[in-house]
Amino acid sequence: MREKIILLVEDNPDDVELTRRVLRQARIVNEVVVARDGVEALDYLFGEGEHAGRDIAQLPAVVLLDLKLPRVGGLDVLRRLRADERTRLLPVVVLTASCEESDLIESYALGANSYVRKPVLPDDFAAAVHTLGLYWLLFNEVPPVGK
Amino acid sequence: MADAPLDTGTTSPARRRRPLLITLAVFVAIILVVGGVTYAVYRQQLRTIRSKTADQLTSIGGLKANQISAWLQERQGDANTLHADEPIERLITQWLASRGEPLPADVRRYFAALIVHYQYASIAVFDRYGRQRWPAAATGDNGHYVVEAVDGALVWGTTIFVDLHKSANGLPALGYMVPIDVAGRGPPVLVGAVYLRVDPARFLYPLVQTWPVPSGTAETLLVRRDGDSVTFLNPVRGFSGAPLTLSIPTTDRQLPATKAVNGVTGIVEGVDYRGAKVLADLRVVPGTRSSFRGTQWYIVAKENLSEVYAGAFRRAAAAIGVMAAVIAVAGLGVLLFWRSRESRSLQALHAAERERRALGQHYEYVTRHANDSMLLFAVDGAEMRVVDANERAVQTYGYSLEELRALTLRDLRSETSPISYEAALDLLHMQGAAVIESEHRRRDGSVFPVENSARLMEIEGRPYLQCIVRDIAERKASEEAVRKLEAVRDVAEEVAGIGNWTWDLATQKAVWSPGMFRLWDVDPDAFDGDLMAILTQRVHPDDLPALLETTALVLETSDPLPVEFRLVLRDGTERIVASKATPRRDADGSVVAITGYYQDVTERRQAEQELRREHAFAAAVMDTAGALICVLDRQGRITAFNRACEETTGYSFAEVSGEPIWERLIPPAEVDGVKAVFADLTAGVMPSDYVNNWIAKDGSQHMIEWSNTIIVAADGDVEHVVGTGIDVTERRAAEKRVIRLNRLYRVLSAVDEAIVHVREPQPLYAEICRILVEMGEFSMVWVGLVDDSRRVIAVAMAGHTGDYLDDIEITVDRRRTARGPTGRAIITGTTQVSADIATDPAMKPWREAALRHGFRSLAALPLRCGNEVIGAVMINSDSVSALDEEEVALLTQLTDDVSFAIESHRGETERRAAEEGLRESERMLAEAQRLGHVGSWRFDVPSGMLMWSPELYRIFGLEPGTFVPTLDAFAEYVHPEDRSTIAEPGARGQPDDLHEMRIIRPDGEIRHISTRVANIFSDDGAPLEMVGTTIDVTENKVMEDEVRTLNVELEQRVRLRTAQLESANEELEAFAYSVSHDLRAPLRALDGFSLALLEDYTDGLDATAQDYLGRVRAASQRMGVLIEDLLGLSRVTRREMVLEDVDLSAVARRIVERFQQEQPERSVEFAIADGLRAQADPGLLEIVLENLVGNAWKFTSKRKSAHIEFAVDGEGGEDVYHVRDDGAGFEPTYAGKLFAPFQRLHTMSEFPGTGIGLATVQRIVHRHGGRCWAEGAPGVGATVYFTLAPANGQERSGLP
Repeated sequence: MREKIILLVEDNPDDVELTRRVLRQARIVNEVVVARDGVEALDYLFGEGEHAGRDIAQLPAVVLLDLKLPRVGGLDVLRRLRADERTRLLPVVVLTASCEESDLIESYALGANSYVRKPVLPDDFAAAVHTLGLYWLLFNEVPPVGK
Repeated sequence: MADAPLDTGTTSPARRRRPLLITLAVFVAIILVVGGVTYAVYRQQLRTIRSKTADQLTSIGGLKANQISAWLQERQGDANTLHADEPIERLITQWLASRGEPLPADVRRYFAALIVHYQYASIAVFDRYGRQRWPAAATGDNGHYVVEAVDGALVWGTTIFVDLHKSANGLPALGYMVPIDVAGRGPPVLVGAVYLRVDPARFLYPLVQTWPVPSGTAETLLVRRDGDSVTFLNPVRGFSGAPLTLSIPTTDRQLPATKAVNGVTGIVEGVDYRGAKVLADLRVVPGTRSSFRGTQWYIVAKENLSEVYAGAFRRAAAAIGVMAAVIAVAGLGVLLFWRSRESRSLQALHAAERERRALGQHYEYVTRHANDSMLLFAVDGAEMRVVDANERAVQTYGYSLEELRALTLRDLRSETSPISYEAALDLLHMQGAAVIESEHRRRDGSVFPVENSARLMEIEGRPYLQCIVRDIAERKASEEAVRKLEAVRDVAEEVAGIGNWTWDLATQKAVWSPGMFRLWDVDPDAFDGDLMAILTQRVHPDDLPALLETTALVLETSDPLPVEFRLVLRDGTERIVASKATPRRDADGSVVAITGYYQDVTERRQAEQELRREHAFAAAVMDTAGALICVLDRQGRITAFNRACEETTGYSFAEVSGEPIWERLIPPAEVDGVKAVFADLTAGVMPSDYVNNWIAKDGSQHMIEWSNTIIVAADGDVEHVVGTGIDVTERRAAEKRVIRLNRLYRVLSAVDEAIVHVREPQPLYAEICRILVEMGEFSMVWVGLVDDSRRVIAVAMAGHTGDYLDDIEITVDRRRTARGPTGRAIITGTTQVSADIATDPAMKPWREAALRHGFRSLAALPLRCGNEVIGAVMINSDSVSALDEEEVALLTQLTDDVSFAIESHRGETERRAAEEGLRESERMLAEAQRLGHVGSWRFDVPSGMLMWSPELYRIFGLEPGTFVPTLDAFAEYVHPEDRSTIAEPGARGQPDDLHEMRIIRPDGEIRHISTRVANIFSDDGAPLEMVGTTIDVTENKVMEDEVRTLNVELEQRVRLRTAQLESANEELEAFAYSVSHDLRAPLRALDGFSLALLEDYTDGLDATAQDYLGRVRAASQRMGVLIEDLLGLSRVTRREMVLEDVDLSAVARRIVERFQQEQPERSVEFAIADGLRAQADPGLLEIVLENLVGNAWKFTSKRKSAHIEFAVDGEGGEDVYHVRDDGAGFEPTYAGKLFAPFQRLHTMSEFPGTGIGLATVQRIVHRHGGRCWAEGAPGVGATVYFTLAPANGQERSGLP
């Protein structure tokens, strides 16, 4: 069975590290691929640009997507993923520091599977990611790649 | 008296013995026959008795069997009902399926009803295994009868008859076992059974044991075959043990019970269980077959034979006794018969002797004392020979007895007898007895008339003639005298037309005198005394019934009555006859006959009738005369009083007849005058006319005009005074009335004249009063008007002055004293008349005063002005009933005229005032138009006339009146470009069409005018008129243009400013967004890595390092909160407001609840006013209250207990809300700083916070157009006030 990858789309290295730490603490040892902005994330997923030639059939188990990203924002990334037949069903968890209600509503409208406010408190953050990781990586099958 | 020989008839002894023998033989034969018959009858009797008893037993047995059967059927019916009752079965089924639950109440009630109403001893429920489930304790009656019944019911599913048996407690029982099944798909499932147990002792046994007729040994037995024995089911007479315990083997074939169970039915003889011979009826009781044993019940109705025949034996003994007695009596009879034959002839002889002796004595007695001659003749063919004669005969005839005995009857008779001897003899032989008048001859040859009562008789077989001969010479003489009298009477009768009659009550026959026959025109020869025939023949048919009735009455009561009736004679003439009768009495006083006479009264009656007719005619003439006719005698007494008199006075002639005319008819004051006139009349002075009054019975007075005359008697004296009068009361009254009416008409015309001349009301009232008093001749007249307090004030008065009006007070208050004529006239608006003040109850309060002033009647006439009654004219008169209807009508007309005058006067006054007002308002309108530069105009379409108000001229730059306006002239002034807007006359436009146009004044100045036009149309739609107002709007136009320019500029400026604001807003939003993300990211890292250090490298860090890291974390977290609050503040500003009706009280309570849940240990008392509502944005208001309540909560945290209040007070119509606490408070000098962002008055350690809260509150309050401020003192507490609606009604700002 293939390794189940977690794609973390996050431009803030601090948050990347904190996320990794929390995943570690939760004993989630899946490979975490980090994309530093929306473009990179899309390239990874669709095997374009820097990731050209990557076997795109191998989708990550889950995408942890920050909203405020350089170049292409998180919501645009989500919109693109949902518009594409291949990634239409890819589990995406929006991970954001935004407290704006509009962000939450738009995320769900675009088809986010879950929405988690980045807790300033690491305990909460850990708990949220922990719960997500356990659910998606340990109990759920990743749906087959769409045509 | 002569002896007559008699045969004594004796018999010989030999002849006497023969009958004795025959009698004995007959006697023996009778004994034999009677004995034989008696025995046969006895046998027959026995048979009859037995058969009767058998019938009785059969019917009793049958009756009982049927009763038992019917009773059992009822029980079976109960069982079937239960079996069919699905709800109960279902309940029982459910219960049987349950464990340990009590039997359902419905079932128990059902059972209780069965027990109570149908007398069941008990009811038990069994389950499908046949175990008793209810009642829990077994009833002790579950012997094999019951068990097999349960089994049967559960197997077959049908109701099972539980046969009579001895239950465990020894008592007999029977009943029905009802299966309980569950109906479902397929056959029913049997789940249990219910046992309806019956105690036979309650009904069955008494039923069996009762015997309908008295009997010593009769009894009914209920039996059943149980194996080889017969069981007696019921308690039996001769056995003291319990029922069901007596059992006798079937080998006892003589036992009727055995015969019964062996199938014998009907009447049998046998020996019963007591060993007695019995007669019994045996039969099966239907419906008692037991399903299991095949047994059934038999009923044995039996009676001991000894008892059955007891009666017969007794009767037989009696019969034998009777027979012996009969035989004895018969023997005795025979003996007596024989003996009596011997004594009978002796007895007959003795009786004849005794009879003869009696006769002899009697005859002797009669003979001795008789006044008549008595002779006994022996009949010898046609000859009668004297055998015996009494002393009277000896004396009468002058012969001695011996000489007489030598003579015959023929010898004693004289040839001069009216009837011959032979004829008399024939009569005698024919009738056996006869009374014959004849003449007998004495020894001296003298002949005397006799009445001979002769009778043929037989004495001892030989014929005799007995004659009682009376000398009737005297009678004959008196008869002759009577005849003579009668002849005289007849002549008298004939002369007087009288007839006599006698009715003999004894004979019921009438005797008439010849006069009667003449009167009645009846042939005396044809009269046979049959009155009825003659009555019907002669009496006038109309009078007959009355006559018969009277006659019957007379006959019945013997009380003679006079009658009078008509006779119709043979020639058809009618005569009137009168009859009077008297009873004739005998010495004892009892009536023996009625005698009477008839008299022809025809002529008298006719004369009387003639007289009556004449009288009637005279009376009729008198009565039909229209005039009063009164006839007085010399003393002035009334002797005639015709109908007109009666009608006028109300007295009948009978009442006044014979009393002097002045007694009651003439008023006392006039009596002397009447007497004087009467004296003149009786003195012969006549003719005389006179007028006087009569008092009628009802008290009314009638004025009569008399014309008197006298009737002079033969002696020249005045015999009667005849008064002929006419009642002129009405005529006189009418004359008076005409005078009064004329007077009133004059009054009316005078008043009308006054109305024309006197215009002012007050003098008019005075004039009216004066006219009514002076011309109308009323005592006093006044006019009262109603003042404001509803009192009637006299405003004019005439005639009788004095203080009358001072005495009375009149109000027209409906509730109180307005009961008098004045008040009523004013309230009702109708004329009120009090015809007699002295008696009118309505006048009570004023009566005394009115009478004192001499007023006897009055009228109150309402005075009107329009529809309003303003007062009344009061007219007082000094006579009673002074005003009749017509006069009142005239007076009403008078007051109506006055009312009209008042109204027209008032109308004129009002019109004058209105005209004055109109002129004034016209002047004011012109002034207003001048001041307001408003001109008005009016265009009359049909005439083409145009009229301008003065101001309109001025608007057109013209002097008023210097220009005759026409439409064309007007059009000339209008700016050529605007002429098309001139309204066409009659154009149908909007009402109040507004037209604006320019005009060019004569000096060339252009002015703007605005004209408002209205068209007026006639009913048929033709334009009638155009009216309009015109305003000079030149100045307005200039200003309008300026305003329009300014508005355009303003809009441009607003658009620009809005665009600027919008871009600033967007920038701000972007800024806030990036702040929320980018500013917080480093803090997150600071806090996150500090935590990572603390957690992951605890061992490498000493306490100080850990403390420092903790401080890093706290600082970064505080920074996060600050940013959060700032963002909140910015959101509050940016957020779009939606105003709704917000329940502030509810919001506050919700918030308070949250705080209390977070810190339940705090003791804070909240006082939140109810029903605080506002038009506000609910989300923002929640933030406001959250902050304010939160602050209060925070700043009271140091107190043990605190009070927080949220309420409102109105302040100049503005709602001022406040949140007040009794917490730390603040220095009032800083009150103004509180609402600035980040402004804090306490250290963090004292009270944490960012200082954003009140700034946010202020922002939101301002956005709602409100204000907020705070008051407080350190240690006392703080109050934050805010308002939401702007105090001056400004629009709320949607901008920051």
